[in-house]
Amino acid sequence: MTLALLPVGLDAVVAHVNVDGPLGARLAELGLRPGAHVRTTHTAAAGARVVALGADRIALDQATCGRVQISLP
Amino acid sequence: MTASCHDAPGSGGTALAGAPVVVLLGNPNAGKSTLFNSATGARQHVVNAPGTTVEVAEGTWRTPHGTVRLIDAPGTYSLVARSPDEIVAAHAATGADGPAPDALVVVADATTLPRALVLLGQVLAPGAVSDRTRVVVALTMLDAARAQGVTLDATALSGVLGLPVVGVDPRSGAGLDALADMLVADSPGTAAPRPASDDAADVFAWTATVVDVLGDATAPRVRTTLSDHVDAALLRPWVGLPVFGLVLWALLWLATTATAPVMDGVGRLVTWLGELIRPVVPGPAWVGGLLVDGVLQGVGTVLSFLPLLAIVFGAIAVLEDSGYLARVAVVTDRAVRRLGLDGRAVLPLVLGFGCNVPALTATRTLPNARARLLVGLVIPWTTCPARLTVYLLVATAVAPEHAAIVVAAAYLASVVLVVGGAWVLQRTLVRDLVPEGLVLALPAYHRPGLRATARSIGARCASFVRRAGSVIVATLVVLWVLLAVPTTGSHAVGNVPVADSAYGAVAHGLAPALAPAGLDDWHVAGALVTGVVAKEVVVGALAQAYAVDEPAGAGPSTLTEHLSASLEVSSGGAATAAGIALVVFVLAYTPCIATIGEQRRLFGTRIAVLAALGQLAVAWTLAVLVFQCGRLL
Repeated sequence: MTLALLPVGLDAVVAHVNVDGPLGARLAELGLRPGAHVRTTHTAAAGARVVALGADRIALDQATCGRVQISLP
Repeated sequence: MTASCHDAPGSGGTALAGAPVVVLLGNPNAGKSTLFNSATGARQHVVNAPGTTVEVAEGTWRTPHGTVRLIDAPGTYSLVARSPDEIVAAHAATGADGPAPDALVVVADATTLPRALVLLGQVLAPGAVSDRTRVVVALTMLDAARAQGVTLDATALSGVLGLPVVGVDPRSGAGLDALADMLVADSPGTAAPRPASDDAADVFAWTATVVDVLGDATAPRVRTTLSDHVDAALLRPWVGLPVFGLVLWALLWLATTATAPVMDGVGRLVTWLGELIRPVVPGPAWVGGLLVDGVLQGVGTVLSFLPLLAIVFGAIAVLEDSGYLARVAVVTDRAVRRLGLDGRAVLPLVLGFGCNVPALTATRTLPNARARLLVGLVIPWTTCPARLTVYLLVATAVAPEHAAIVVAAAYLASVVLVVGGAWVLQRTLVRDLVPEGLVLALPAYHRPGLRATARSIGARCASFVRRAGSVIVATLVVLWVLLAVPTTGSHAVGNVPVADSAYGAVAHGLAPALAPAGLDDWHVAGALVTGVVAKEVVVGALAQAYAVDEPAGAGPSTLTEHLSASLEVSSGGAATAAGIALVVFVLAYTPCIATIGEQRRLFGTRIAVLAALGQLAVAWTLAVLVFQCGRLL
């Protein structure tokens, strides 16, 4: 399952981030690394999503969300 | 604290040569710039980092232990730099462009500490920064963190990190003295573990260890906040886009209607001062003319832009600091993503339709210097109201029945030029601006610090006067000289009909270059030259030139008739095609001198000059194409 399918309000754990290069590194620096606990807080325009990592909120576009594998706890 | 004598990135503080250099480093929206403003007060200025278009704020911080040269590095998530701004930040921290700073204050937002720890881990990795650079952590947003369940305090974090850590309130400045004490105090010891290397895996492992030790004190469970409730509406396109439209409308209103009386007031003040000064200036009349119509007029032009820039800059700073602009980036992202930009680029581009100068100023909201450059290069193609007066005149002269269509087409052409120009630039000059997916940290909404905003406005207005003002005054003086010096006839300097002046000679000389566009006419060429000073004066310059050339009663009576007759002759009978070519030329050619001045302030002289020449070439090419195609129809 990917982050793009995680319903709003549900918690998940990041299993794998299939994004290479600078964008992948930026995701990791922002905390979106394997093992991170995430929750989708909002869906936004054009399939973008806002995910919560603790108190942090990160907006991701639909394509990027589709490359983040998650598992439900 | 040891003193050093060197230039850190964004140098220029010769008055502070020898003072210790302290660099503020931190994630975007961590409170770094607010902390900088509280520490330096009015003793700050904005400069471009050497060889870049990245703005860096420098200031003097008077601490109880002495004066410090404080540098506010651009916000960054990482020392592994991926944009010009991040490169400047990384170089400021490491001293890659020169001697290392004496101290590095890592500003960490307590509400998002795990993210800040990644940057801190990179700083603490072996060899990342100089051994002589003291590292101190300034913990911000502690109140907001407590409200979200973070129980962390500075002492506990200091114990875990083995570093001096101090809690600060950037808005009130509370904790600044303690921060200054930490810069000179003995280190609490370095027994705490450090990342094994600067490899990302080691830095993340260290971060995870620190977070584990701190436990729930720093990693609260997800709680729904007030910002989440607001975002539930603002991130929806059907709410977010209309709200953004309202914000844009308000900004355009500020940039045009609201500031017009202030700008007019400055204009009247300059006229009044000129009338006061002119009679009392000793020497020949041209000296008074030079002082009043050249220098004073130039200074007046610069001053008239200051209220506009201050108001628009302040409004944009409030939008940015409140956290709203990050939401704009999300809801408008898709529209500009293919150009390598994010949604924040929409704001300066739309603002350009009000006035190009504050629109350029607004490019500072873009987080990437290459994106700022791209947007800054196409902003002059957003057609400001000053150009509308020219469109209306020309449309009325050559297509009176379809004037509205011509004007509407000019605005449409403006949008096409902006999008097309950005598309071409993104594939040529700004190739390194690669479109990426949207990955954007959304800060919690908060009330902007008004004092800090006011100081920041002051620093940027001073920067405009210093860098853009000199270009504007110099250009207006040169224009006055051209108008005042006679080349034919026996006229006194400063009292020359336009046709007999050096300006007239220049216009006559340039007109043939416009022949392929059907515009080989000295009145038109001269007015276009004047338009470089300000597009508002093109119509006036045409009126002045025709009045001199053909006194009343000798030919056409109105300006539109004069222009229509001129274009009929210069185009060989295709006046409509020539008129539309003139509209296209005015839309696309070199922007006004205030815009060039602001481009110079933001991007440097070389880019400003090349941009002006490039736009001139594009305008000439398009005007020729339009005329040559139009005359065949």
